[in-house]
Amino acid sequence: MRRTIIGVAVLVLAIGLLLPAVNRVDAAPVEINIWSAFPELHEQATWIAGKYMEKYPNIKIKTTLFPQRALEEKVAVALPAGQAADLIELDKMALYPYYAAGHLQPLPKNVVDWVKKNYPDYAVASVTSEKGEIFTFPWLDSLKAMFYNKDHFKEAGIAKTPETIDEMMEMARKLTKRDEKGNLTRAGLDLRLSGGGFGTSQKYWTQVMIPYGAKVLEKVGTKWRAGYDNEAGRKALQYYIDAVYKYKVDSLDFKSDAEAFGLGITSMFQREAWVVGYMAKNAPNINYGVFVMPKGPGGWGTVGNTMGLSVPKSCKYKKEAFDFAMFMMNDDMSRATFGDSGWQPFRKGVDYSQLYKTRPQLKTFIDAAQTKGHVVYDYENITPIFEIHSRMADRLMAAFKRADLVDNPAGIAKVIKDTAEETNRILEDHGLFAK
Amino acid sequence: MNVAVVKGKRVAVGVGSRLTRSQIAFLWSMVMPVIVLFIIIRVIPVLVVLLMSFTNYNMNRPLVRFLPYQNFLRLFGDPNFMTAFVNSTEFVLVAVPVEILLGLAFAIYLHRKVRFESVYETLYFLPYIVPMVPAAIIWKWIYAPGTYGLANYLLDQMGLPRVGWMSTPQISLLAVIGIHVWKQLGFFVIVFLVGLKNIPASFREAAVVDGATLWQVTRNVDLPLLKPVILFGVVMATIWAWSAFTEVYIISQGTDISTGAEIQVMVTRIYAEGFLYFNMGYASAISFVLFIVSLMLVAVQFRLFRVESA
Repeated sequence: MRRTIIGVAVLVLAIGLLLPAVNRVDAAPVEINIWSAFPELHEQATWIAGKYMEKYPNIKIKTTLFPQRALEEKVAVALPAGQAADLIELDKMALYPYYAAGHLQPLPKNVVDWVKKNYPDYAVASVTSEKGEIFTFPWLDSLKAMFYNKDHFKEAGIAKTPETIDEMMEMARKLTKRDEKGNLTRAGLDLRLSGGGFGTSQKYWTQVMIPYGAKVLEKVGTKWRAGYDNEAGRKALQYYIDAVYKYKVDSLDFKSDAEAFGLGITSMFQREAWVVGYMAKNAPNINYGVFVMPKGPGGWGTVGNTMGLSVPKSCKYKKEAFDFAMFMMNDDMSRATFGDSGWQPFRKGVDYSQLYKTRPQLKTFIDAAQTKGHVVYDYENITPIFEIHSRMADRLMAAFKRADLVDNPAGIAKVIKDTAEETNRILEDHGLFAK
Repeated sequence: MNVAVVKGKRVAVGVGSRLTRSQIAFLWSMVMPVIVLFIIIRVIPVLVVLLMSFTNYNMNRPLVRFLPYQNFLRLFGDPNFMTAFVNSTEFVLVAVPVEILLGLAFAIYLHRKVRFESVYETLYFLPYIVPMVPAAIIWKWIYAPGTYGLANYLLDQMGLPRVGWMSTPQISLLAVIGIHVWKQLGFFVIVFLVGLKNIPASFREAAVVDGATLWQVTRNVDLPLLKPVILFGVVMATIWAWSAFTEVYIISQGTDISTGAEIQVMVTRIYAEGFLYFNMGYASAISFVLFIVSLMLVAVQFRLFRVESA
């Protein structure tokens, strides 16, 4: 009897001691960390996190912003070490190598079903690996279109937007302005000659390679090779060289990109939908519109690289992380993201009609993705894709400085050949080169 | 044998002294943590880098192959590496003499008991304590294209032609070296000033009594006695210039610059190969070249100091 009493007392004591611990585990909030690289997306994620935490108070979402390069470095070091955030926002091109190395969690079946139901096929295809796994959410579509200054067009007597790249160059020449010393005061067409990294080659790919029918990479069987050491590739570079040195619609010594457009010193330039948010915030008085990329003799289309949102394999709360990611991409949040940040969600079937009333420019981006004949290209899912495009950009930028390439087909051909050889060498290093 | 008295006991010290086992054990126990840390933090990483430089290790490719010479051979045919090597060398050849000569000139001038000396010292030293990242961002604005940058705006106001600070490779590299010199100069001014203050005033007074001019005092008294400090400055300036990174990295980011690839230096090359393209084996080979060159510079320093003490 005495033993029984002692046994019961010990049991009660043990339960008494364990209960608070169990309660603590239950009550401990699940913490999900997100790393972002763009201020406007960070703000958006923080706002969405607030909404989510209202709904699920036991889940704490922490958002952290890094400059893009800093985020890439942080991910490179932390992800293989299992120390990365629970959700990482990066271009899918940057995420793919981590998936290939086994650091990212492919989407589980229920999430795959949700993605397939709510995203266009080409978005799903762009984030699907050769194994058939979806390695990241196709969160945002960095689809490129042309921004133009309506007042500049009106002043130059241009009543419509260009439909072909030749027409665009003609208009750019009319729109360009210089001071009495010959310095450029307005670029008719900002070609993004500077900046470096894959951004420069991406704009070049969109601006001239697609219209001339050149490909950065072409697939031969299961392998790849440079697809621009050809007439189309040479014409593409010629277009840029002529623009800078023959028609002088842009200059290396001139401000470029969204900042220049916001300052009203650029008439046309190519960018993504986030510029609409940028303009609303920084240059509300600029009267501008957006048109789809013009056609060329070899093709019509644009680049719509995917901004992914990935869950690492080391994530402690995968279910919660996937759940929050899906919340970030629901109809309401997609509308808010598009409206507030200007970043274009990849989601299909979301009604943006109210948004178009205040920001009509956004409609072009949604329409461009659905226009028949207008192809949306994305980066190939191969490990060295970032290196291929970045090194190509370095060589292109060096070529853009060469006035001697004007009316110099042999010089152009040499630049293209050397660049393509480097592309092929990288592919070969990774065992991906199609001989 | 030298003998010292410790707590009333005579203890042998210096060359030829004998320590007891417990004393040796005590000394080792004091020194070992530092040695172990040094091995972990310094020696092992160097060995790992050396080892990796003989492989094709890529962070995204788990398979590693031994490459006995290929990475080092590739360096000579890699235009990016050659550009970085030449640029780093130019960095050293331009930045070091400018920093040392200007540092000496300002230090000698300030040592002449000018008014508001401490104000000038503070002004020269300020850039040194400003973190490089914000400093480089400010310089980016100064070098911005068109009249949106302060430098070209001022040139325009003076009726002078604009300069392609960020579009002409030769100028861009010099512009970045300018940032480096601006940042480091204060350090050398202070170091040389301290060196000058340590030279006894009686030496100069004796020279003046003998009829030496200001220039003769500087040339025949100050500079020879300042030689060890100048040597220290030269070696430090060389190592810093050779391993410059932040100013080049920050300046070459953004759409206002079109010379990013042309102004790359050794460390930005290592960064690109290792952390952008994940080619750790190749990045290690470049790191090893950087290490060897740095080691040679340190060896020169030791040699020069030995000559000095001899």
